[in-house]
Amino acid sequence: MGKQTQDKFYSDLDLTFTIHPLNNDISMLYDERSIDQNMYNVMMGNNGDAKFHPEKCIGIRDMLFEPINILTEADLRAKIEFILQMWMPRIKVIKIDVIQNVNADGYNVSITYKTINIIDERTTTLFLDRIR
Amino acid sequence: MAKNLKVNALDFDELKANLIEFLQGQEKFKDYNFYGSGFDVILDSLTYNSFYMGTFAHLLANEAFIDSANLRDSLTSKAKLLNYIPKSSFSAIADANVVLDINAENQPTDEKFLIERGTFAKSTNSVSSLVRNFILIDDVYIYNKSIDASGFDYQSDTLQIYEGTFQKDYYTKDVSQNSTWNQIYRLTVKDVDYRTIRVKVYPNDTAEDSNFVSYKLASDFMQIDGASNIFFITTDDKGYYEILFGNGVYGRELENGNYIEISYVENQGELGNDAREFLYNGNDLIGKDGSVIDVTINTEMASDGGRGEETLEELKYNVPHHYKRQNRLVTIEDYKSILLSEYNNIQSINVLGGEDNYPKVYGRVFISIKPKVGDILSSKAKETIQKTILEKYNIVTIDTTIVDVDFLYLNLTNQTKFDPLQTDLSSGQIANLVNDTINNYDTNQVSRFDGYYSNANLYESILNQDDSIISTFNYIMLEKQTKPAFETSQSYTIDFNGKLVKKSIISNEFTFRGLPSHFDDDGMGNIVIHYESLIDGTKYTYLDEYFGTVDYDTGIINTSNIVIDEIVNGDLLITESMPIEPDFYPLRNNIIKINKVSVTVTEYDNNK
Repeated sequence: MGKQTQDKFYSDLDLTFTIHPLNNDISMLYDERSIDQNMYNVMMGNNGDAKFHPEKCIGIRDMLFEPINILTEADLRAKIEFILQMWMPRIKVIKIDVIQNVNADGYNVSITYKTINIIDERTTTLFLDRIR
Repeated sequence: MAKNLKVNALDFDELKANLIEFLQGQEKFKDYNFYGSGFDVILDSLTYNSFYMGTFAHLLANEAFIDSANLRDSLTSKAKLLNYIPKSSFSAIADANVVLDINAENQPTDEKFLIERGTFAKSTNSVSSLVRNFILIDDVYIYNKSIDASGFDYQSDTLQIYEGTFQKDYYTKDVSQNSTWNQIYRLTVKDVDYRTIRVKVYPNDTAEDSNFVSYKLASDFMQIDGASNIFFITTDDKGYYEILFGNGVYGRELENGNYIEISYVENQGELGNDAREFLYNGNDLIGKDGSVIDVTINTEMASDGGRGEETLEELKYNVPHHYKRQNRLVTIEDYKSILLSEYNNIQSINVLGGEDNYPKVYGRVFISIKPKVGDILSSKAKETIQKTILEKYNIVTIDTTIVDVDFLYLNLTNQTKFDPLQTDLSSGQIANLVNDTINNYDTNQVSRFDGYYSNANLYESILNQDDSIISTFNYIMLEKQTKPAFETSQSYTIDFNGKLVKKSIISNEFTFRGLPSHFDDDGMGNIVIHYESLIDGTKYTYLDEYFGTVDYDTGIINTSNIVIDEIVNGDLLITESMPIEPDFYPLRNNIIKINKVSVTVTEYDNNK
């Protein structure tokens, strides 16, 4: 078991399964990076990903196939806020910006949040497009 | 914190909770309990795999038992262990006899005609374009039955003909394909009545040789040895029949190169039912003079018993009952079960041990059968059942008697009142509705051995037919029909099977001592005969002379020896009486049947 430092509150497996260069084990993610991966997984879940819990997938990915306009933008923002509040109790969402990017067929999403046990605010930017 | 992983959970969430509880004992990954974390995704997969395996084990356990199996494959496999053959569809079977138009010119020298097995007749009363062929599954010889040496009476006994198409499959015993004894010969079609399967084994690979051996379906292992020419039937997972031969210990083992002919009837199940008229459709029969013989088919019983494949529910019921029965008739349920499975024309059946009979007859079993067609079985049908079924399975010292059904008829006079403002129906339509309800009640509830008549139930059914029906009432008369022996002194026992109202018994008119007469009761338990004067038509009573007794509590009338010359209308002695109680339950070989229905409908007067 690797030695844990006190300032790392959260740790997780890296789902890209890259190999750690030193110990040849699966890489790990800590704190903000772990939460970012979590956030992406929660938002981009497909129907059926969470077995026996269909309520955990509200179809954000499906929204990406809707016409790119201000209405979809607003809908996406509401859904992201809902699912983060519902299924990520360790963060407090402060602000969500969803801006359409017509040229790239997607949305630039910026989420500002505060993590429990970590004082600083943090802003994560994601680009949501139809390609996984 | 759990040091060991709990493995008792079956539910998905519970399984996952156990895994999380186990991981809480470890420090390395802290995100294990957050939905959407990388570790949560792995946990989902682990949990789903465990859940899947749990469900699989559960289904596997279900399929291991007859009660809980849901796959035909599982049930047929269990059936094999219990020596039960799952039934594919059954052919409709008709009883008929054949009359040949033979005279001195065309009569064969050996005075017999062979009708070969195969296509025999086609039904001519089909309502649609449906073609229904009927098959003779064994060769039949028809002999001259005339008792007059110069007469011609070429007719068969009753033949059973099976609806369907005559098919044959051929196989060769090939040891190079399968070195063991159990080479399987699968029939090429599915809808086969297994009772029609016939197997011939030729020594060499041709069916032209007349030197064949007929193999029979194995039925009793106690009588089988290594030289028995028998075959076994089983079904594959798709429901196709498979033929297996013996292994040299149980049944003769086939030799390499033996040629096997399997013939059978592919049928249309219940579409073959109710064929009443037949036209000969087989090979021409050629007489001695070269002329074609006319063949007439007389229907004795319309085709019946055609049905589809045995359903899973039926298999679940039949397989354990077959095992319980052990091919022996011991309990009442054994008799019912075997007769229902081996004789088609049964609508309802009742079996009674002699110890429960009145009077008691020990060592005898009484069987009553209400056939699907008609009310009583013909003597020929009784004989067939006795010889082909009961004698085969019955215990040696037990005697069986098939007794006719004893009907207790109910004649209903119904009075129904309805509110015309509550419905668009006319009084005539309401009367039809009530009439249909009574008839349906009779068919579905009453006229069976395990049926019963309840006034309250019938009232409820009638009132439920339409909201406008306000009230209904049945006036009931019981009726018993007895076939008298004419011009012979005989005593009659007429059993109404329930309490009777005094002075309510009355018979129909018959001729007694040369005078038109009828009998009734005097209210004190005596049967009195009244007669009509031939001179002036005045009615008289034989004073101080009683012709029997009636027990009003049991409903049994016993007449003394009386000689009935004839019945004035018809040939049945009909006795009617009024019951005290409104409900009727059958006893022994009784069946209650609603016979006559008279419905009077009146309108409720809203202005009153």
